[in-house]
Amino acid sequence: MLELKLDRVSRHYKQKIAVDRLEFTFRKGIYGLLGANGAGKTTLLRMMVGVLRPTSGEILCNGQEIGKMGGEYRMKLGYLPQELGYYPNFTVCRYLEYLAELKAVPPELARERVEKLLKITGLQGSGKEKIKTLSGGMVRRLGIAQSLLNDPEILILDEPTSGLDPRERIRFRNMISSLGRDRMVLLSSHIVADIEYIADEILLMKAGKITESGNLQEILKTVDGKVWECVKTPEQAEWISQKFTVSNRKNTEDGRVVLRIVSDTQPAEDAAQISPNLEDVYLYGTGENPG
Amino acid sequence: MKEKIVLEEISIDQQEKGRILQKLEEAAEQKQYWRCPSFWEIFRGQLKYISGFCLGGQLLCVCLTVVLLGYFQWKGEGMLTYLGTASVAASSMGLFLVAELGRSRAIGMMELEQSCYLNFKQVWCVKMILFGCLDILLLTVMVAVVAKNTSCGLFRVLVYLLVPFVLSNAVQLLVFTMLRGRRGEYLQAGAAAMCGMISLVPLSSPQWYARTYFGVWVFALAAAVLCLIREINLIYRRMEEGEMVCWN
Repeated sequence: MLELKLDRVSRHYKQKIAVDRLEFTFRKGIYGLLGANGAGKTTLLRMMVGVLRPTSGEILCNGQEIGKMGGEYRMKLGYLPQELGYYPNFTVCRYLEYLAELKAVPPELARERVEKLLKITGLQGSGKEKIKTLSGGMVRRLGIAQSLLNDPEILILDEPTSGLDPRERIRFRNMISSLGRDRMVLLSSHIVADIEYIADEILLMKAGKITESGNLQEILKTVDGKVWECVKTPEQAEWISQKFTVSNRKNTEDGRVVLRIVSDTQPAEDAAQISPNLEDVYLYGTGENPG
Repeated sequence: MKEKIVLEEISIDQQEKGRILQKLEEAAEQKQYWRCPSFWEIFRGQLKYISGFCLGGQLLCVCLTVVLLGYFQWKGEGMLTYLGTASVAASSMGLFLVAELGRSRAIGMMELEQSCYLNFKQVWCVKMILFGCLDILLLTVMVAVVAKNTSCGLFRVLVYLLVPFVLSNAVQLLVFTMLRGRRGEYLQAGAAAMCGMISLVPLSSPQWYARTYFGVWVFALAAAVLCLIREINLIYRRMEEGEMVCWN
């Protein structure tokens, strides 16, 4: 059974600690990584891919250190970086064939695989187009296609849905969901809904550490009793927004404001407890006040 | 008259058929999309994707130099013409390889290539072997032709040509990490031009090619080799750490 273990993994950039002694074990399933910018998500994913070397600690795949496994580990891997690199003058097909070659996909299977993935990602009509002529969303879909070329056992996706329109996002989410049945999928995203819908296990990262982890129900429990709703005048709403973490504010027809607040204490006398969602957990965990 | 054979009707167990088809489908799903390619397969594969400009440029450089040397032989030119031309050719040879290596660095491909079975370091090795073979071919031709047409022996000519070759490669690697994208390419070309001009400096006073100064050439070659090793080591370490790969 496939197992990827982080054993006190740290990564420093000079004085800054990007990832701080992380310990976690990934198995088959979909893992969603949530965290603010600079929380260390991308650094962690890069280390898991083998692009960055940890400053200390080890990443073990079925008990073997991934750096020592080399090509054997990379053979199991599919990776979509946050910023997809490509040769602008390559056509979509040539790009995928090139990466299939690097991923050691047998040439007789590569063609078939490329065609299948172009179809899955909705790029079948763009095979002969140069990548530099594609839109941002299409480049993202191309990135997703390349990550699946070798039918990887471990799929690591850094912000896979950024730049996709809602229809593409939903299609991609469904695709990831079906892929996660028999492999390990780890995706990071700022889009809380993506994680909420498809992740079997959610990891919340802050300042290089995993602050919370568990399935959606377990994660939601961590802010049980800490999400409040109240109706206030615009002036009172402004004051509350400055003092507390407001996860949503909505104007009512009578000119007042409905506030959704994440707080350990009751923010106002008339504030009532409501059931939390993942956005509340995210805001609570990252300690961010969206204003 | 032969009797017509009538086959006994075989009943098909639909449930069993479904089960077997399901197993076949599962086996097809488990089909592995990878294999371990041989060195030759890797080499042949990479050859398809090397930039036409870089490989063509290198080949053109080889052909042009061979044609020029042939022309000089036909015209019966003197030692300095041979050494000058060969030195400039030797100092520009590294440009095309570094430009090819810089391609993946310039547009963020390194990070993606590093995550593949054949990572970018292996891809770079293949490219370096290919371009290196062309360099060796050209150096061999130049050394043989220059030695034949001048009073310098093979070894001395080899040293005279290796100095600009190794030095320009060290300079190319030094500027390789400084800038990226179009500006990096211009810097690379500028460095090659500068190295070409510097390699012509000894021609201003021909006694530099006299036997008495040979020790200086050997010293220069040793220094250039050390610089090259230092640059290679530096780039390798930065690649191993990964920062150069991610922030390219």
